[in-house]
Amino acid sequence: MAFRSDLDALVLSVLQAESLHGYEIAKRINAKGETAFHAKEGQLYPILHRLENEGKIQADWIPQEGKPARKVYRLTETGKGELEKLVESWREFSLAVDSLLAPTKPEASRG
Amino acid sequence: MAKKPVLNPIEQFLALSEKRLRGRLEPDKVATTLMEAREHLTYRAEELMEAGQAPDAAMAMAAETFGQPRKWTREILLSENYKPYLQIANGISVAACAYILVLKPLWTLFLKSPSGGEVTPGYLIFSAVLTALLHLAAGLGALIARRCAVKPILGIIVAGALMFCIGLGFMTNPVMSQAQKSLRDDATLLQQGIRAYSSKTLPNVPAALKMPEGFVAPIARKRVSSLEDVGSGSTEIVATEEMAASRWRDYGALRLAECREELGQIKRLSDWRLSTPQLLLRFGANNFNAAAALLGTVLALLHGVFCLMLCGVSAQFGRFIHRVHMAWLSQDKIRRSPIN
Repeated sequence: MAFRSDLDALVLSVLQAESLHGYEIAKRINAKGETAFHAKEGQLYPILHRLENEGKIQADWIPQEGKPARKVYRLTETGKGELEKLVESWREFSLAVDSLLAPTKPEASRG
Repeated sequence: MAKKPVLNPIEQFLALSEKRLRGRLEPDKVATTLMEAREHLTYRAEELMEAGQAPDAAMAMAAETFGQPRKWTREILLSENYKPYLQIANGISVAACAYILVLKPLWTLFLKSPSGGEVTPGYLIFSAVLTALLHLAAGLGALIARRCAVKPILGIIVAGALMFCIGLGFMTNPVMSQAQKSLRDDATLLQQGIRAYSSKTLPNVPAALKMPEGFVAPIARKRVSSLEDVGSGSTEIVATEEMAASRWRDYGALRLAECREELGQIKRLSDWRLSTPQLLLRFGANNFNAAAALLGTVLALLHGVFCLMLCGVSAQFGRFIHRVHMAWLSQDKIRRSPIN
């Protein structure tokens, strides 16, 4: 199960390297082994629209020969900043969980 | 008769989604959103076909894995910060209810209502609190509708029902105000009657009551058992003036006793500001008051139905405003487009 901020982080991280259209973003996330959009792929689009409205990504319409124009998303400066924050908070969370789950050494007997 | 064309699963998904998005988002936004979904679904179906699936099965699977149109469009609307005009409609409903609530004090203040209802600061605070509660109820109804992803009409009904329950539970029944006024008038009359009959100076039978065959006098009767019997005594002709005068004196004494008893009853009823459930619980047995209670309940029910109708009408009005707004926006975009 993924939380909203996790899904945002996934989408933003995929767009970090290059501009992509919706289907390709879903494919890249699935290729990384993430199951976030496996069940309902349509879930991706509300996230993309929200991120676009928040100014974290920007959409451009790229004309295609013999086909309708394609909507391609790219990361904005705000999006890059947001991704850094999300990655940082994820690292902190991950470290905290790791330290909790790590096997504790038995206390030395007193006396 | 021409057969309806059978849509493939992808077209079905897009048609259903279009139906749910149309009128809620700007037309070009609906078009681009559906174009994006179509592209995704087509690519997915093509991939599945390349993997060896039959075209129909591939399209069905692509649509299925994309999600249900209802849920998907709801998520899209949320992502586009869609402000449901239902909220505006609810606001109109609540404003109308508040207006009704405020109308009574205004009526009493400026038009000098014969009921002479008291407009105290407490009453005004009560009205304000009730209005706030109604607004809360309407908001809660809209929230339930949104959270449960149910049709807006259910939200309207929930909001209306909540408003009705709050109104029924807390609002003073207007019939009781009328009953209070009526009984106050009765009390005044009864006090006058007591004074008149206590004087024991009842004159002899007046000339108007003299008939060729005798004298008009009240029919001798025993004590009355209910308010309905009071004042319903009829008259008869008696032979002599002495008999008539005696009857009138007896009637006076009886009426005096009745007046005193009724006045005592009214004075014992200290609190007449009752809600409809209290009204029913308190006055179930008495004929006169049960009739008032029944009338009060019917009035409260009618008020509830009125609230629901108001909600429904204003919701439709809200949608109409939204559609007009959307149409105006699209026209404006067409005018501003570089092609023109």
